[in-house]
Amino acid sequence: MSVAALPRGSLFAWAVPVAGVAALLLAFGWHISVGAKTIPLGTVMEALVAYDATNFDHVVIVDLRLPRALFAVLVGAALSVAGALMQGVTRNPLAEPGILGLLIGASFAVVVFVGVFDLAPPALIPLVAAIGALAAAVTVWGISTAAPGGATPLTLVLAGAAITAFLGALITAANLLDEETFEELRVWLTGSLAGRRLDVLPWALPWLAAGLVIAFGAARQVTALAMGEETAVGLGMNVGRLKALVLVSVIALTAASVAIAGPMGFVGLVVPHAVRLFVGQDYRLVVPWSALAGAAYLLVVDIAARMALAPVEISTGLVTALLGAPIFVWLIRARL
Amino acid sequence: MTRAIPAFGLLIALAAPIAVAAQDTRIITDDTGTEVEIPIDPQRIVALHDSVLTVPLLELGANLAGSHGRGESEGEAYIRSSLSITGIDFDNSDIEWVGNLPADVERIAAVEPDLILTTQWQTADVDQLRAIAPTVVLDYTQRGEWEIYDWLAELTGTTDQLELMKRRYADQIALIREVIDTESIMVSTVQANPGELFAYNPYGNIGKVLVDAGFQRPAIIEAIPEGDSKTFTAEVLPEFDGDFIFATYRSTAGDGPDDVRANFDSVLPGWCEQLHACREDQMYFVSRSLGATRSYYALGAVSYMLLSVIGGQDFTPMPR
Repeated sequence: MSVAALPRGSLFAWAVPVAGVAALLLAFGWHISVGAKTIPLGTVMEALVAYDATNFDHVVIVDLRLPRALFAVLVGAALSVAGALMQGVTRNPLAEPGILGLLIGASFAVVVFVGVFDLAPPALIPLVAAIGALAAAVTVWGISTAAPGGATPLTLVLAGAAITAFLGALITAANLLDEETFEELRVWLTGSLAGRRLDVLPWALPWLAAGLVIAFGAARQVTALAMGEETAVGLGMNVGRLKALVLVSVIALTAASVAIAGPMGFVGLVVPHAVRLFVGQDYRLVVPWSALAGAAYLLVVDIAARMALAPVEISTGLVTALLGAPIFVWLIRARL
Repeated sequence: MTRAIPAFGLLIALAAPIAVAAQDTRIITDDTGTEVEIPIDPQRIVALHDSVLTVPLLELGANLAGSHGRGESEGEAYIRSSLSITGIDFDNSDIEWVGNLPADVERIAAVEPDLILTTQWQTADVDQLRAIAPTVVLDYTQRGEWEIYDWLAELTGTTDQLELMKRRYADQIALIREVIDTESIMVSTVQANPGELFAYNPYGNIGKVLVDAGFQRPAIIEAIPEGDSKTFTAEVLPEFDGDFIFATYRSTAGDGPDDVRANFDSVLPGWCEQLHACREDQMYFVSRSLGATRSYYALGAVSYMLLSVIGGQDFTPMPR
């Protein structure tokens, strides 16, 4: 039985969201309690309630793990909601910011901005990422609609792959031409939550908040649109306006997450599909549960990235790709 | 005119034995297992890795005709670290730039080399290189950094010069041991990249001098396989602490000490407070050119730096 099928006011209907939030808190607690440095649980609690800057264990908890966990929550939620919206609006099970080229578009814009023009004011990074993501989205849409048969799930994915390959090649070329400058972007380009600077957070948060507010507000209409455009029009919806609104949300969420952590692939693919298994196709449930599950998912993935080879770390983006790629292949076989 | 012809013929006849002598060869086996017939006294060497091959060859006084260099055009190309180590670069020598990565095979051919030296890092096609001149591949993942240096001297007939430099270096190490109780002092070397710590064992010239002089080094560095490097999370930052810490900046990229501090800030805000050496002003920032390039001149500079910095002051030992 899915969450949507639970009777209103029943104990289960209340218990499931509470359990979801509890799971997120558990993942958050686990994230800040484990790492390359073994810190007793008591010290973790002590760091949170009575921080002592001269105690390195406290510094690790409050200055390293806590911000990183916060970034994981924000990026996981943002990318998952973006993926859910894209899948609903395009009715394409493979749609997500990475596969449709938005992540690479945002990353490419940031690379040009920071690496080529040597500009890096944190206030502008989300805006630059948003412009890059928008340009990539428009290009992918343009290519796929120009293809014979129009914008089908397959042509969208292929156009996304083409843009990803093209912009990826340009990033690689820029890197080869100027290794010294691009050294600083090397780790960021793999999608990393390590050493993210807090100064970009205040500038990324408004984008993230705007994206989530729009997503939550549009969720009901996305449910109708996911049934088909004719159904949505029949229900009196302005489909063009809804698509534009969702595009704004997806761009804002993608830009915020790229500004924080670089391109983190497959999060927006894996999480909404997992969520739909439990809550069904109602986007009023898919969107908030994707946010919750996405946050918890990235927390757990980041624990794996930090612990698998500790004290050496793997980029979180590499782990999301390792987990996401097989699911992508399965979806192609099962749904396309 | 008729008298000039026999005179010209005589010149050729005199020159011929010299030319033959210059082409005397021997057979060696390179690091790919290939037997290569190389000239005993090469006169036009092309080196295809600037900091690993070219700088050592310049120190040895070998006859370099061409070199790999960083950059994408002749105007901007440079031999990494060479200017500060040897004073020689493309713009003040007869050494021709033959490209970057991969090196330009046509440029190499135009230099007319009699010996090409390359490494496993260089991506220019070795078979094409062998078609131009005898080509020796030196693999620094198989041999130690300084074993490559010894082999370069052997390949280019400059072992006498190498022995002089080794003797000088041994004397520098002896002087450090004489002035400083090295075995009681822990010296750390760590690098901060954006978001991560990075450590080599031993850490180029600085690490070699530290090891040869008998300084203690942090266990986390000793645990890295020799010749290898690793990235670390900031959670282990205190494990890189020592009585002294040396960190490097990329002078070739225009960086300076402030960039090192900024990178440490990106790894862990307030990092300095977590390191005894930094709190006590016993942390030093030096150019990576001095630390990274295989050079006996650089070893000497590092030796005197350590002698001055550690031997020349009272310091606050790190509580063990």
